[in-house]
Amino acid sequence: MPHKEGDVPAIAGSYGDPEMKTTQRNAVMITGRDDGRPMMFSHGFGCDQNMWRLVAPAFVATHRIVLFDHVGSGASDLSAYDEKRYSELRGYASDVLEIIHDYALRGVIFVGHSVSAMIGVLAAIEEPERFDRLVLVGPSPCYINDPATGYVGGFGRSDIEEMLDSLDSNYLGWSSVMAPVIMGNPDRPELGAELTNSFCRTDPEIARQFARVTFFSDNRADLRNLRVPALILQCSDDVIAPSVVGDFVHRHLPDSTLHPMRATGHCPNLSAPQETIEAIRRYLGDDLDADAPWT
Amino acid sequence: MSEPEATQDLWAPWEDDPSDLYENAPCGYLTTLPDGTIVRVNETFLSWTGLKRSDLVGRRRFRDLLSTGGQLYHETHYAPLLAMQDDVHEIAFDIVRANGERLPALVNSVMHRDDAGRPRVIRTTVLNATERRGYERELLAARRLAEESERRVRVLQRIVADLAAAPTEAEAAAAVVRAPEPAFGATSSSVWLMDADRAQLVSVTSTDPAAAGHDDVSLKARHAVADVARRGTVHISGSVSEAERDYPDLAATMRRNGRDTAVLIPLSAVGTEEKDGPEVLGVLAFDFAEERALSETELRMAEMLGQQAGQALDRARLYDDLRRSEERATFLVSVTRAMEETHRLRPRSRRLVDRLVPEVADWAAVDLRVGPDGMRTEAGSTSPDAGWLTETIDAVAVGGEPRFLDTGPESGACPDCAVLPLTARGRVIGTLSLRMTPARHTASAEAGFLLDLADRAGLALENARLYEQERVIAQTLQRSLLAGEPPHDSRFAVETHYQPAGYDLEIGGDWFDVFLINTDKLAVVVGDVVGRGIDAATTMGQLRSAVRALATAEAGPARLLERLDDFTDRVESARMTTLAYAEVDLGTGEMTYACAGHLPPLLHEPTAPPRFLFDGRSAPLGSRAGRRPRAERRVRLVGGSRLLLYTDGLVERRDRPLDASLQVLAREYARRRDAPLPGLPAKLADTMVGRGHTDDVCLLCLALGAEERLERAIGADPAQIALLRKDLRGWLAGHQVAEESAQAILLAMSEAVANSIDHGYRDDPFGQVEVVARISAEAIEVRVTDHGVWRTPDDSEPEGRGLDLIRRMMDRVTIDRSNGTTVTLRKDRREAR
Repeated sequence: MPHKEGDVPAIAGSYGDPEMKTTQRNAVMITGRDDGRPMMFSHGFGCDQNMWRLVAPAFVATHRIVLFDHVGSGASDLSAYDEKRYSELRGYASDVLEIIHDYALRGVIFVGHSVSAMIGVLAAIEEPERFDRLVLVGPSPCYINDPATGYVGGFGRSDIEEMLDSLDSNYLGWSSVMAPVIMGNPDRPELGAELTNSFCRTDPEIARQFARVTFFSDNRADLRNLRVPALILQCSDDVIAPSVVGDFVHRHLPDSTLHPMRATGHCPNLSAPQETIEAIRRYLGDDLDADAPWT
Repeated sequence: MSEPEATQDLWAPWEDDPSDLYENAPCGYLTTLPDGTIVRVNETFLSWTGLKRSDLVGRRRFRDLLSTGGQLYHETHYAPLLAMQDDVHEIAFDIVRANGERLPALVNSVMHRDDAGRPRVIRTTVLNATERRGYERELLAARRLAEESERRVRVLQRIVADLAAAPTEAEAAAAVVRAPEPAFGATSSSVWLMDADRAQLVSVTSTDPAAAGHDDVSLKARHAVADVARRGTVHISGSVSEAERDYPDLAATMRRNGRDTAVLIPLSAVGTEEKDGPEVLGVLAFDFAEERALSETELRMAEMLGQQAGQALDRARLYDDLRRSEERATFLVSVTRAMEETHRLRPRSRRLVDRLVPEVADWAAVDLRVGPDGMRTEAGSTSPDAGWLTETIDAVAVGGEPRFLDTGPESGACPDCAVLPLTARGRVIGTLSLRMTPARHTASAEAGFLLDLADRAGLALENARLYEQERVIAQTLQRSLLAGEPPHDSRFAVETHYQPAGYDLEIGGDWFDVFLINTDKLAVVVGDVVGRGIDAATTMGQLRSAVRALATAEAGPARLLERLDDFTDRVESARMTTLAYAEVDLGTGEMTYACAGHLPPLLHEPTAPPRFLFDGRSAPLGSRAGRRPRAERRVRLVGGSRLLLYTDGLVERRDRPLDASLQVLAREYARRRDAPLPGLPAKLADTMVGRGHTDDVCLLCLALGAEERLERAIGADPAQIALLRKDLRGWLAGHQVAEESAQAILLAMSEAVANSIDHGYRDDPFGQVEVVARISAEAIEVRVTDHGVWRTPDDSEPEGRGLDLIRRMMDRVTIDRSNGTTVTLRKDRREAR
């Protein structure tokens, strides 16, 4: 049974400038205040920009909201998937920067969930002048345990392989699981239908690749190079990014704030949207009311 | 079975008990809080899993019951999906039983919300899907297998196509090195190719050239690559520690490159008949960043890849051999041709080494056993160790067996060298030493080609040596025959000129001779023997002697020719010789001449234009047409007449008929009527044929009666005065100048020339002194000219003293310093009065 309409503000957005290369490739969605500070939401492995539908609307009144899908996910252009480019997180980080360039975004607040947290870190290391703050939701620079350095990432290689098996098992019956996703957008039902069909759906081959890149990447050495302030939202009892990993990230990011959450699991943006929104608001503080135009 | 019993069975006792329905439902049933914490679980689930209710309720989340991989999937897919759609169906999870075993399950969840829309509770059913999941897993495995194998087949097909199109080893290696990444997901791969000559494996290509471990490997080394090449079997190190056990080198490389798995595949062609096993032509190594086990199928595929690559390499090698043997054949032909372009020994040796370097060798030397010190011709810069070379050359020259030094410890100082015997007609005439270019096969691998080359070179050099030898002998012979002072007689003068052919060819058979038959009879002869080289020179010598011997019989030219015909019966090589022969009576001036097939002599009398003597002609010596009485002709010569005998080289030109050439000769000869006799034949030859002549030229010019005028030039060297005196004395005698006057003139001339040398050319050793003597009815005049600047020392007067002497002896002495210094001496002819 779908949740009731009006419980949370809906994202009343539209696709970005169709002239831009990234618009189609990354299904870029622009909403919020045209002159607001840009706030970019980046989804993690497993889903698409719908991940943010309980959080992003809270900033519509104050910010310019930029939502997008990574290539291979959601409504992105699958034909743009390039095995070589996306064989490392840097490829995804380049996409983020390309969107920023296309839309001439400055002073970006980048909110990245899960693997997108690291994608944001890489992008911000590359071009720090474009970023104001990073909000990292459940970040992990390395998921695999490294006995040589005593690092605990939470997983062994075989665990990841097993998850890839899960991906494959469930690919078989996936289409029957597809339930309509109501976008809270009664004016444009065709949009809802489109997104329903794309929600959490991925080409299984691309899903496997993305999983490999996500879980086999090791970006621990990159952390110390970040020059942009960052907020770490650390859930309790997150099996994917345990607290020790959040602590590690906090220790190694030069200008970071660690915010432990009451929310459990790996997706506070879905399971505890209000706590997530409040944590972000508190971190952004006065900036929320800043009058500076960001167009 | 009876009806009532069936009715009895239909009565279901648990229909009354909803809790039984819940607890013993045919599916597991869990109720959890929105965060997954289990608040209620049914008996079915507990019995399937062996878990205790007390351990679950309030203590565990549903997620915690899943395998780790399942947990990851739950967190990334299941939970978000449930949060957004409020229900999720038929998700396959493995539940971990109490005993650690897995329970394959299909899971459905529904999220219930309160009136405010807040998540309240999640109800989850778990269906035991052991069989279905097993079946699905099989399907999945089959599908994966099919997909995998399809992908691999595609990869393999592409690689095989690439391999088939690879004409060289390098291209085959480049094709195969690209395979492991798409086929197996390898991190990087490299290829080594077998260099059987040098017993090593050469690292030729890699997808990650920056990584460590791409060195050439000796086939004998304890090294994974060498081992795989030797054994021809696959080697897999599944982990660094495994590699450590087998090959510490490999383990170190893996550690440096951050690899956890390494696979080495032999690239082997299908065995040929003479070899029992497959021949390994190279090794493909690929590695993985993670620990990775190859499946049976993957292993088979890798082996197949190795075989395909091996066959491609084998084919490329055959192509290569074919191309190489074509190249060699062409090379041999071109070397032979280049050598044959020149006849002499040293140029031929030079051609040989210059062709060998750099195409075949970095350095090459020909050592020939000629002369006292032998002869070396070398090219290239990297000569091998001198001591080794000298020793080896001596050994090869003596034993006649080639030496190859390209493997083994002793090759250190001179790697890849060969010393080959140069043999011809069963004799070792020298050696050919080579240091091979690294780009080619080693010397011993090229042995067949090199020995072939040495054989050809040996023969060509031997021929050059023989040619050289013959040429030296022929030249010596000819020089000895042509040289020899013509008789010195005031009644006549003779000038000769012999000019060998302009090209580097064998000497010809032209000759001339001048001799006195008796005190009053002079014989002159010019002849041309058929053929060239030492045979012609020998024949010429024999004929020359024969002519001299037969002339003493004084039977005249015609009889002499007839006897020479007889001579050709015994000396076959003299047959068809042509010659012009003349006898001159020095007292009467009567000349008898005869021409055997030879060009007509050219006579120039003082009062008439030159004319050819076309009479007295007959056929060449020993010819059939010549076997009849020979003709001769008489002609009376006046004093001052000049007679020219010559060979065909002077007038035979491809671009001019003979008649025209003879006319030119007559004109040129007439033009030089007043030119001094010395140098006249040479000047004529120069005018008529120039430098590029293809034939020998031989001229003899006889002047009857002394010259009107004597002209000589000598270098500023007092020693040459003696020659001048000799010439002048002959000239004076020829004009019947009285002895007393002659002595005075000779002394005065000597003083004047000495003065010119001493004073005029004190600082110029290359100056020339010209002397011209003229005679008239009244007096003899000698003019001595130099072009130096006279320097007279202040305190002495040697000039004066010399001049005093001259003035006393001469009737008149004039000195002209307008252009250099000319001293004119005049002596009146007392005898003429």
